[in-house]
Amino acid sequence: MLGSVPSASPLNASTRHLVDRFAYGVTDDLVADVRSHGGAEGWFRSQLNRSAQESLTAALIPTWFPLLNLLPQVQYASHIAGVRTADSVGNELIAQNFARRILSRHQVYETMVDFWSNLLYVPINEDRSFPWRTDYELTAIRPHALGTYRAMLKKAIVHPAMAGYLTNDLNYKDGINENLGRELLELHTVGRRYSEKDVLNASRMLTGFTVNVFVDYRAAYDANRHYTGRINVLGFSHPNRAKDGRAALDDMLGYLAGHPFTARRIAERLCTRFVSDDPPETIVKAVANAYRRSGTDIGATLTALVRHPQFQKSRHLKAWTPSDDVVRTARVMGLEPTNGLAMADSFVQHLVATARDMGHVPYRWPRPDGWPETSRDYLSASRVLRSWQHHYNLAGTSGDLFRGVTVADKASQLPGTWPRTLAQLTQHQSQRLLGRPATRELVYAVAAALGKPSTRSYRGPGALSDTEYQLLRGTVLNSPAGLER
Amino acid sequence: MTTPPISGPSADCGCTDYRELSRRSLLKGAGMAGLAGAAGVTTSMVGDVLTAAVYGAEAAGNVLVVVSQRGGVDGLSMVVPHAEQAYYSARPTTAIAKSRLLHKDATFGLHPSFRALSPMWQKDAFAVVHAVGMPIPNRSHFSAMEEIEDADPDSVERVGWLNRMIGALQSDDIFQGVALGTNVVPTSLVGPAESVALASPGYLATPYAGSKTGNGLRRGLREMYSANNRPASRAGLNALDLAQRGLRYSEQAAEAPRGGAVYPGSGLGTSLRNAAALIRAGVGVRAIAVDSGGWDHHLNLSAAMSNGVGDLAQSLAAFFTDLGPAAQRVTVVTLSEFGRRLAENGASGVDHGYGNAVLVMGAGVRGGRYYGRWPTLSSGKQVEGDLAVTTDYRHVLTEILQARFPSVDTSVVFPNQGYRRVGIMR
Repeated sequence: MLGSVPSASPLNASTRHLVDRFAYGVTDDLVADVRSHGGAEGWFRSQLNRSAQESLTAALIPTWFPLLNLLPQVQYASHIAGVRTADSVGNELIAQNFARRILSRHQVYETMVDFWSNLLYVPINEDRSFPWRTDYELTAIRPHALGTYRAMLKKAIVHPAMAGYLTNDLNYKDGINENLGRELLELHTVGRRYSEKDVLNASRMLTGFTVNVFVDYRAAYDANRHYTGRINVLGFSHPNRAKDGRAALDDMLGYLAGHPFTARRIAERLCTRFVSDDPPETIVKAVANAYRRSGTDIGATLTALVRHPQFQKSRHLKAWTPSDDVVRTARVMGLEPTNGLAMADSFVQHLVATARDMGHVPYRWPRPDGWPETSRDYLSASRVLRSWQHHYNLAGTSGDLFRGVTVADKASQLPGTWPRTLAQLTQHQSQRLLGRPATRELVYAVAAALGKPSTRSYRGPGALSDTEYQLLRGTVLNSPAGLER
Repeated sequence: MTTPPISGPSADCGCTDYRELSRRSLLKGAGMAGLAGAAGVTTSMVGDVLTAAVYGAEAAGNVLVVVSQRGGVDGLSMVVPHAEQAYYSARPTTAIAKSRLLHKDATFGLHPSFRALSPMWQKDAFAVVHAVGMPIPNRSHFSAMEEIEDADPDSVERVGWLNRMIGALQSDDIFQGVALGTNVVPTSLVGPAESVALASPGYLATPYAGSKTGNGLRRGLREMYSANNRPASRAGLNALDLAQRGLRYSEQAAEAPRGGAVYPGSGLGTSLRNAAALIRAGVGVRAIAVDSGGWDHHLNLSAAMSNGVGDLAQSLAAFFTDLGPAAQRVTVVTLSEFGRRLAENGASGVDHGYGNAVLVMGAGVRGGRYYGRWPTLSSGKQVEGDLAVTTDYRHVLTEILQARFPSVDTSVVFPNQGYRRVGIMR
């Protein structure tokens, strides 16, 4: 159980930094996992291999959302019939991801699923793609999230969800539609270093795919729609003579995945998420080199990132995005979802609604470039106000919010030895929830919120009322350090 | 460990904030606002109750609303060049017949779905500039939008033009520049001048507001977020300011629209409704950025334009009705990252293009007519199959700023642009 075993001693600062960036909040279980692998290096390696055994609860998460696996045509039909709208299907997929992020031991994997979903971006409830959106995650993103980018790109670009979203089903030899061709170059591979001719050529190579949108969403390849003739894109050249162009397209996608510009773009984006909003050139270069040398291998690329000296120099320079904040808060508060059986009022669904209220839900960005990876975009005044409120809500222990969730016992979250002053309790919770010592100002703030002096002594967990417990923990998360990771 | 005293001069009344307000307004009054930080004085924001007194003059100031048509709207469908045979031959399935157009002159006519804005056109409060855009084509959504909103191609600093505009107004009120309908500040508003993005106007309060706990907590939050100048701390101080001053806005937004205005239920309608509440609330807003999505016309151009223009026109018409007398202070301009290609693609859509149309309406506009130097659509005048650009979009914006915000130095907002007057503003 999360948070059921009090941690012996905190992680050292460099290990703490690694898990702050690559896990959704530090729990006692995570600390134990890191220790059992002999520290940061071993833990990260095991995370890249996904060798850890999942808990039974985590393994069962997909069974909470059985309807996500319906065929695309059924997803569409039930949307039209009003039985299950695209929006509610989308919420389920997000809720499932939230549950995995909270419960899975494969924290790096879940982090990278989110990262790649935000790069090879298909939103959750767009008309032309939503019936395929779950399949997209399950077949294009998840199998490759720690594999190679080349393999993931090849799957994602030809997936019906991507075709529907960026209108590649409407791209054919006598009616070239440049939508996907352009974003393939700009967003998914080389960045804005292409010519208009490259866009046209890439678009031509992408012809042939069909999706029967707004009917049954059946997807196919129609070689009669494929453009034949020489294709030149950014140094790639192919005669493209075969009627069926899929092998040629595969070659082009493989070439683009390994292009130095793509290495640069992927490295910049990885470093922006995991290092800082404006990552130093040296680390971007090192990550790009690792990406190229390893043949687009994601594990090798991430290893280069976390081993680079600039990584450790970036402590606390990133902010929790609202949705990561919500998941992190649930984890560190010791809130463990137990089901989510498509219930709109289950705890995980509440978490999705909470993230939405804070202005950021994964897969709900309206444009193909995905949510910004820069932290500064998430530090608006209104987001901070909402976070303050929601931290208190999630620091509570009872009420409508807490359906389908196990709430950790108060005593398990508090010190083992008593009496303790309010200042000492604040210190303890600051270490526990933030991994950092409480500042003078945080001690003051807790005392001011409780209306008690910080020297006030408590004899045991029972002496702290539920309200005091909630105010204490919410205020710790509401310190500036609670926004940083 | 030393702990600040819990009791003290500002114990339970929450008056710390007012004390800071008066300190700050004194500094402002002495023209020394810039020294506040340097002198070690807290950079905390102003309180709520006295805001009207301090910002009374500001609150009645002019307002610019920028509606970003995200995706790249098809200017040739919004403002149809009906005299051009090239338009009709390039768009066999999506061209709009001359007979359906509104407010035709010899060259142009408005898309029929603009009907809700016809009264404004007839009152000369709605104008169009055609063939507008950036000096060099950029057909990437993201970098074109970034470039348009940054509007300072020679600088690597990421500061948007709306941020430079509110920065030039010489006050650091967080409510001066506002993005509505999103919690992500758009590029145009990014920069050193304080601004705020609001997904919705509800709940603009600190936790437990109005209780003893809430008062204590607010003092605690201010103490914590004043301790250093890291981004998270600055964000927290902005949040405290927003909470204290946003209440009036929340209350206004909860009220029914005025004058019988009916907004569409769309994102744009909602954002403009909130914009009207914000302007009415008199919290000192000077620039509002609003997003309108769904303008990426790779397929089914005709349906998308009918729906999109209808939504745009109804939202804006409701907005000006709702504003009532405050409409005299408000000017709206639309911007989009690029126009669309002249020729249809295979999906009755149009791919990314270049020259576009910009709509300007409201206070100070010499409306009821079409502006711009029309390059024509003859093949020699096109740019890679797209409508050319003959008016730099920054010239349109400069003219609006010069007419409505005379204290703003437009050469700072739009450096090195070689301004040429368009004539749209009185």
